[in-house]
Amino acid sequence: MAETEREAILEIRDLSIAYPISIGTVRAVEGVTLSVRKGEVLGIVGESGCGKSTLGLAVLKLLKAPGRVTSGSILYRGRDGAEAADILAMDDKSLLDLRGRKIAMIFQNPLTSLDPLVSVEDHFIEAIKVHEPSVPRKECLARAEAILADLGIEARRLSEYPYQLSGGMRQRIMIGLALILHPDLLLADEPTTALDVIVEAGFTELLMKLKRQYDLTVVLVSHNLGLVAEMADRIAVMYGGRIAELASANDIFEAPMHPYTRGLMDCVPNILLDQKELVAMPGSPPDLVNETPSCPFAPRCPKAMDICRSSVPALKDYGGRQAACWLYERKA
Amino acid sequence: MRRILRYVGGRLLLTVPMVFVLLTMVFVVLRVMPGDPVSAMLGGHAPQAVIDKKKAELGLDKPILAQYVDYLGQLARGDLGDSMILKEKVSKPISDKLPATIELTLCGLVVCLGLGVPLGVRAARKRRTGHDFGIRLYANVVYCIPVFWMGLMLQMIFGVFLDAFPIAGRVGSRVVSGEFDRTGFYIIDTLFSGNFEALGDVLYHLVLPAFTLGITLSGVFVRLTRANMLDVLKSDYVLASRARGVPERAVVYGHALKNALIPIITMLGLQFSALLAGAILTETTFSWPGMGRLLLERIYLRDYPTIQGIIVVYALFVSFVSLIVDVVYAIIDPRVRL
Repeated sequence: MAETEREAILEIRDLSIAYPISIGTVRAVEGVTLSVRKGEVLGIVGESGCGKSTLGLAVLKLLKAPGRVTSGSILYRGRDGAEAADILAMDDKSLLDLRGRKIAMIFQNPLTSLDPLVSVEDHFIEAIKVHEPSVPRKECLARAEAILADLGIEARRLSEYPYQLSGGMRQRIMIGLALILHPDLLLADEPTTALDVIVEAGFTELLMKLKRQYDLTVVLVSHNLGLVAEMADRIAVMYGGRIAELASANDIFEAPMHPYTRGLMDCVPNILLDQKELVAMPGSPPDLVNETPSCPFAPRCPKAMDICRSSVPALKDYGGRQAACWLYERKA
Repeated sequence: MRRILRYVGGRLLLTVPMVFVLLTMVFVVLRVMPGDPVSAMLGGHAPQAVIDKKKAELGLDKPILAQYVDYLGQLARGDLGDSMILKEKVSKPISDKLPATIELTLCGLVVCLGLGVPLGVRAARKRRTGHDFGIRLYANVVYCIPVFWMGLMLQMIFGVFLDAFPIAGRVGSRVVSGEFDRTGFYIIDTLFSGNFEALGDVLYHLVLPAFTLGITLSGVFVRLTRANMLDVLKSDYVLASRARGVPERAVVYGHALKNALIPIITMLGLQFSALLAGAILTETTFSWPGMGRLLLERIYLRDYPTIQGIIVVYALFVSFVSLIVDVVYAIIDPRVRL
């Protein structure tokens, strides 16, 4: 454990995030503890509304109002192993320095993530100059051209505007903008949701290539199990704002522990099995407004026991992997 | 660039039929309206023979259609005709008064945008706070206030009670406008003649009328700016640029405001005619020697040719401004193909 602690470039500790709304408080993230190890691809999987995107935004302290962190800390250590700093306690200046330069983020919708009135080159120039104001325009363009070459985009696209580019191209430019300053960590929030399948396949390959080339650590937030399976080393499965299970990608797919993980996997159609019907998980995602002292998955869980409905299971270690489920806690 | 020039040429051609239609309507309405220049000049008790003679002199005895054809022929030669009341060309008072109106309108516009846009941005950024509430209240109140009443109130408060600003005219009595008057645009004239004392006086006289006009119209722009900024601030590219470490100021003014300005510019083109209409009332309230007051005067006198001439100039002014708006629009937004 000490070993992994040292390797962690980002450590989320007991993080809770709430959105006060008119009918109560939405507890989007509840007591999440998670560390991101240097050089890995960590997948965060879950249904929509499970808190995974909120988690990503919190790492850059970009939660949208009225969302706020109610407890916990997010320690960032960085690639060079410097002193860990709590992102949530940072002042504005350190935050601006962190965003883009150390931790970069790409978003769900590439079609709307570029300013429609700003040309591609001006996007790059801004991205560089925000952090390195002394870099001359010409060098900014040279760097942009170099990164576009890595992304397989011709340099002539630099002078074009977002509306002149396809969705896949815009997504690649978003990645280029994210990587132009060689950040330590890339947060990818549903990066392929808006892309079609062919583009998605190319995107996965590209991201893995860039990860090696730029010595990146990647946090991949997605509801798409296939995508995460292809890329992630470790996977955190989230449900109802909590981590249900955290294990290596292999373990998750070979032997899921949490009934929710199993259920998720059953929902993915498998072309090798002769399935007559798709399996849907019964019930609907949990209500995050009304707090109940129970496992959030209990109402939909095929293996729910009495204890599941009366108290919340903690995330516990089971031989190198973690799960939050009473099924195992009692046996252990 | 060629694309833009071609578009401008096309638009200019389009103003010809527009002015033609407008002019036809004004021509007919004026002659259908009760009263005519002759009775306005001679009063109600002149002998019929004198009236008939005068009417024949002015060509008013002919059928409307014949008058119309005559007028169009004249207009085609680029001649707005002669006044029916005074012995002068129609173009004379118009060219005298037009600069005063343009100066007032443009200054009003500057005040309007200078108040409306920053207040709207502030309200959007401070959404649901006291600032936001106060600014929205301001916007709704000034939106409801008639421009002449706003003028009277400003005159009373700043002119009479506080005695801070003049309430009438373009220059004070100590300034002789003949000394610098070249183009009729006093700000430009005084600047170029280096007469800074007069420039100060001109600006001093502009304050109340320009604010009257600007404040009244700023309500629309506050609300429009606020609504658009709220929308744009929620957009993905704003979040994405924040995630890249772009400072808040640059996010708000560089990305968000620029995008929010597009509908504001459109609105500007639409509101410009309201601005001119407001200017007519403001000129009257502040004894501003502009086209608005001239128009009003000549409507009382039923000076048909001068009224028609003024309407033509107003129409050209409005279509010129909307043309500029369209070009600015195309420059800001790369997606617009003119």
